[in-house]
Amino acid sequence: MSADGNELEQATEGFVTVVTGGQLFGFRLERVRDVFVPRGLSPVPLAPPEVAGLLNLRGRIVTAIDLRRRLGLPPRADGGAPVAVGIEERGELYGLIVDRVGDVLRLKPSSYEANPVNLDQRWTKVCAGVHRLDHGLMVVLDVDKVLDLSKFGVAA
Amino acid sequence: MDELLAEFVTETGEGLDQLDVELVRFEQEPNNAEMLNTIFRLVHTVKGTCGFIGLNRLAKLAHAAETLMGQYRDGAPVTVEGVSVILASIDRIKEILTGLDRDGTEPPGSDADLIGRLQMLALAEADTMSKGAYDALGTVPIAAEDARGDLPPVQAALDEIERAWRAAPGPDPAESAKELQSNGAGVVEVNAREAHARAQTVRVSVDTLEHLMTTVSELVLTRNQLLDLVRRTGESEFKSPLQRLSTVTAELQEGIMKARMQPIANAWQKLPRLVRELSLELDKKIELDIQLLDLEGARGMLERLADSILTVVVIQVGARLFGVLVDSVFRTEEIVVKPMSSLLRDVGMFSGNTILGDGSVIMIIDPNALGSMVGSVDGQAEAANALAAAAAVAEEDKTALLLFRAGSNTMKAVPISLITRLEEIDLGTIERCNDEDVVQYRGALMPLVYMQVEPGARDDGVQPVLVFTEGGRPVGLAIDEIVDIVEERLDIELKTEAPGVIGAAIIKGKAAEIVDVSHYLGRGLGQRLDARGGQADREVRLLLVDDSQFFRNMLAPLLKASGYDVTLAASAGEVLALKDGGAMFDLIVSDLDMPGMDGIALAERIKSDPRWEKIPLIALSSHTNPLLVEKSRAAGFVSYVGKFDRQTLMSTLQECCRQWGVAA
Repeated sequence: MSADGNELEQATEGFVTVVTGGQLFGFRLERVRDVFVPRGLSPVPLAPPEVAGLLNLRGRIVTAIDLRRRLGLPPRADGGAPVAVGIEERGELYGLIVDRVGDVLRLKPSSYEANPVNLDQRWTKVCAGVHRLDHGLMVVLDVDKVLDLSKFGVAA
Repeated sequence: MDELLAEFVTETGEGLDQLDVELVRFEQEPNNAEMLNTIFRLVHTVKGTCGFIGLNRLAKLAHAAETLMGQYRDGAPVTVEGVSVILASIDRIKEILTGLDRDGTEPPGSDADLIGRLQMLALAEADTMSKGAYDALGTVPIAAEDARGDLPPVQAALDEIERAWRAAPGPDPAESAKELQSNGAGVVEVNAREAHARAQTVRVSVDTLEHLMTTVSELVLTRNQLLDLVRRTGESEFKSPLQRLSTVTAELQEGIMKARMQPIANAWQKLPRLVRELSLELDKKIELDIQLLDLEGARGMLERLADSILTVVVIQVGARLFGVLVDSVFRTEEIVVKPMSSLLRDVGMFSGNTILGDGSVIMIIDPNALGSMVGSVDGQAEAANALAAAAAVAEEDKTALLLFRAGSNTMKAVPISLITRLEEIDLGTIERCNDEDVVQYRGALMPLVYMQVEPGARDDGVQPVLVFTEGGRPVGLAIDEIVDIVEERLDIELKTEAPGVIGAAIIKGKAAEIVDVSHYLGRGLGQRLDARGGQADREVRLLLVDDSQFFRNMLAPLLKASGYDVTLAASAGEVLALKDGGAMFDLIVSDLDMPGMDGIALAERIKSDPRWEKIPLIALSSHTNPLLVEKSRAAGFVSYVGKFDRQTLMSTLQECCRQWGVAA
């Protein structure tokens, strides 16, 4: 990255940034396995609405979750190609479908803040604070909470 | 069936189907002479052929129908009633043909009803005709009976008419005249026309056509290969002959395809008749418009038809069958079902998912979930039942025993797995043959062996018999009475020297003698084991290795009852553990085909252990493959026995005991 030696010494933390519904989100770098284009999605009838379907990623079955639906955002209207962030959790593969994947950022703890009080109530359950960047806020998503659909209650 | 007869049935059947259609059309356009001729010819052929091969019932009926139609041909007005009766006659002819096809002879029955109606109509017509057209001649008597008594009166009358026609050429209808002038007799004309019609169609068996299709497909493939070769080599002298070959092949392919095609109109042949009857029944005019389509049109229609066809996949849940309506059946594929993601476990409809050969992911529908949706399957109860069944199977130490009495009051027992059937045989059916009592049993003679029962000592008329099977032949063991069937752990507590008894065991809290069946059956089932014959203090220690619980369950009681000290192992791993644990055996019987380490590999391991290398190995296998036999011998097995072959297994074991001095 573009960070110089001085900054690295300050124990930076890496984030994979994604944009969904116009908002910048960040996943902790160590939780992200890969980024891929979801192809051949098989919808799963009767599944929770957030589950976009199943797909085959190099011989493994991936459960794709639509991050927009997970966050209670309206369906995407611009028709752009979706991208998925691959996450492995207890031996199972998940793909979080996002609008766009951005850069990997290395951020200092100094820019971190807890969930702001004015954060959308629906998001507080899946967010683990924000990083204040030069051009706006990056909401840190807690992968475990995003994948725990039972703790949902957002779309209701 | 006679070849001639078979040919007749097929040809006539086809002709009659055609007749249905023609008659309905004819009714609508009674002036279509050509159509009438076609119909007349068909019926006439049936009549002629029937007479020729001696089918009297058909011949009479066809004759009556022909007579009436002959009149229509000669210009009599066509009535609805007439056509109805002729159609009914055709139906009857079809019925008779079906019987003929099935049995090779005409089914019994009378057609007097139809013949009567046909004759009535024919008489009425003849009456009209003779009055209208021939009365002027004054020479045509409507003879009720004449010299040719074997012919129905109508025919006789018609013959008279024909004779009169010939004798006095007058203003006859043009057609009839032509026919009479050229041939003198209608029959010849008809046959000639028919010969012409036959020349246009040749009967070819579907198999032959299929074979031709396949051959042509091969030809097309070969041509394509050649074309490809020539394309790659560029200019070539083969080019132009190949072009010709290509054209000819294409023509041939098309021709064969056409020959294989069935005109779709055949499918609708029954329709006009159906509509006519509907129309008569409802007393409404119905117009049926059939448009025949060309090949392309027909294909399109078939596709549209296919759209409306429902596809049902039948699944079984528990004991019930369910049909699942699906859009289409994709294909079958061997799959490995992977568990659903934990996010989706709550979706009870799916038992898992998998990746197909083309890379797509599919959900596996759980039939139990479908079944429970309709509320007919109690999933828990089913699961409990399955568990209970599994538990029952798991109790492999228990042996099903048949308790019975014979002679003394002591309870006797025999493993039920040895018994083929329990029978009660009527004393009266027992016969003596070659100094043996025998019974005719299921088409074979079954020798009866009495077990401490005096032959003929019974007075109630029936003799309970345990049927054993030896070498595919039944042997009956006569006893006094069957007491019970119990499942018990078979622990033979006391050995005995007495012949015919293996030992005593506690069964249901009482002492019972375990019977040595082989003693009674002589050359019988169990093959008395010399190894056990009383001289040995200890039993032969036998290790049975088989991954199938079923086989372990089946063989273990048998072996135990035959006096072996049986140890069971479900896998090669278990055997090696026993070996390393210091256990020792006199004999090892092992399945060859096991998951993980198979019998061959196991034998190699056993043979490499100096402590175990001398133990004789017997191979069990469900396959009798010479190669496998060879392999097993090379691996150190002394013998190779089919899994289901109890007799051979027993005798092989016995042989081993003797030969290898085991348990001496």
